Amino acid sequence: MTFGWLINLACRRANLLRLLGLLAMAWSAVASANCVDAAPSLQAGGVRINSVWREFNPQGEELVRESGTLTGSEITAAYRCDRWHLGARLSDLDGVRHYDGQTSSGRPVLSQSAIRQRQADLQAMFALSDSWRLGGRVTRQLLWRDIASASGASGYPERFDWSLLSAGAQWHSNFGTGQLSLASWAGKQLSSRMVITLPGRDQATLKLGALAQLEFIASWRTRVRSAWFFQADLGYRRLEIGQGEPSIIRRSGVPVGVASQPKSVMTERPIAIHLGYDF
Amino acid sequence: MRQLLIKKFKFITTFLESQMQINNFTTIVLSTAFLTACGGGGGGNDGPAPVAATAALTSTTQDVAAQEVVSTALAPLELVQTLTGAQTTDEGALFRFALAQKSKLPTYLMNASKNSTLVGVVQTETVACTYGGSLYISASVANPNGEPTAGDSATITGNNCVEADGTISGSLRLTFNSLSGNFNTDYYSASITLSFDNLAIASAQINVRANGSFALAEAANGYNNLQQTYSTPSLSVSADYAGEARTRTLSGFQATATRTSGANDSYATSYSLNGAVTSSAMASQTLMFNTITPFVEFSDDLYPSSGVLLITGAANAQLRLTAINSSQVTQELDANGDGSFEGNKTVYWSSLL
Repeated sequence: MTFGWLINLACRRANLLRLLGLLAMAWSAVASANCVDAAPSLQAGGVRINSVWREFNPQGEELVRESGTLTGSEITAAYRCDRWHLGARLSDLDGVRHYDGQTSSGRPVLSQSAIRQRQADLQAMFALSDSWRLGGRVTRQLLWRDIASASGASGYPERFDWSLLSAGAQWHSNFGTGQLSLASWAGKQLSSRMVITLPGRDQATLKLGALAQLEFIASWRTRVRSAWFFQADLGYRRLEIGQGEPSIIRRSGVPVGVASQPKSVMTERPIAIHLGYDF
Repeated sequence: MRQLLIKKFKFITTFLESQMQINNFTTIVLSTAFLTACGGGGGGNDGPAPVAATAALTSTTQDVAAQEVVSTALAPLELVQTLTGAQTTDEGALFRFALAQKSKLPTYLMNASKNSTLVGVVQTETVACTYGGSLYISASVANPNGEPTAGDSATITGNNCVEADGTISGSLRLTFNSLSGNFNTDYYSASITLSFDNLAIASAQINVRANGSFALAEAANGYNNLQQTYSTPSLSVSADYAGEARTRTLSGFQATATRTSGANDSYATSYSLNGAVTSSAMASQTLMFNTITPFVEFSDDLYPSSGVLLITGAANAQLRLTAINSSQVTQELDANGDGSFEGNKTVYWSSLL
């Protein structure tokens, strides 16, 4: 019984496990390498994101549009070993998005959603030349969205949980005392789901449609004092979530309806300011 | 003259719809009758009340019993809608369709009247649906170019009609019974019968079907002063949620609802409902219910803040639901039917509806 459960878990997580395995190999290879040129660094800073969330019905009509600002902090650890560049990043953001949507019967409603967003990235890049790097990245994101009740319609909490595997390229060049870098990433989902608790209903887990993400980041880094440096990032992210599969909604175990997550598009424009240290 | 009356009737219907949107009261009661009515199968209209065993009320079954009875019989409260984040669908899709068609009844009758020169001629028209297909409208007017008379009706039949909730099939018949009063004010009376003949909405998510009918009579006597009566011998809705079936039948249902205006556009709605609910969630057994003290819901609340409903099961076992406030309900159980409630618990309205 236990053995079967382990096999099932391994199968379900196969893609994620493979990717984590590759990353672990890359990290261990770097760690065991006799680096001629090694440079660890750590940076922390604040992030502000303009976030827009839209939902569409199968006919492509917009059902919901939310927009607002999320703020928070992030910390990044990086390690360079010769031509390998490894990084890990954690971020924690929250804020409010204004909700312009509709009730389950189609009546227009204005409300707001409280948002909390946690994200973890692991990435490995290889320097092809002095200016170009190629690499991969795994992202895990948890997104809490609590829609407030309004106009006689009940809100409810949702929790999205997804992981993405991305491939990316980075170009960088020195300009005066600073360094400009431009990066782009394209990602597909490894796993995704959404947990929803409708008012008076049992908690349900909804399958999301396919996820795809595009991201562009421009960074400017300049040294402020010996090992200390300052970095500013300006980005654009577009995450598309396909129409999800319907799941049964129950009340005390009795089916009373179905729910699905409509096609959703999240567009974010992050601005981040970091202070870092090269060890 | 006929067209003038139809315009007035349309105004009233529009007014009623707006009232429903404002306080959800009509929708709730209508939804109750609608949801409760049919039970299962067959393509019939009004039929005999289902013969089903009476369900037991025990500490184990009381929660499902309360939920099934209240969500069906007190559907007026089901007007508490959810905001779209995820998209949800349930039997209410049938209800929304019926209401939308009810508001179009004057138009259907007017079109039939314009195109008819012979007494009793049935006029037809086809109305395109939002996402493909059409609705086939067959309207019958007894007195062309004259006043609407009792018996005028429109039958709406789905023809691969695709709307947001799914593909519509089967038919809905709206029969005009009476209309009187000063319709340009808040003083009028109207009566309509809605008959469901295998009316179904199907999508990849859900397949719901209604059979039966209910009569709706309304009398307005000023702004936010409205009295409604709903009745049905039998109305049922069956649903298939991704392969899991559910059927609920409302029998011998009679409901009255009265809204009275208060200060600053506020109002209070009181209602009482009596009848029987048969549900597949209760092994297709039946529970009777009657209102001991009318429920009262204020316009700013999502749920009633007072009122008592008594549910009766096998061997005279009883479950008494008392609204404590606009969010909670006391649930008391007399499982052995001796007239003494030996157990009680507090639940949220949201868990019942």
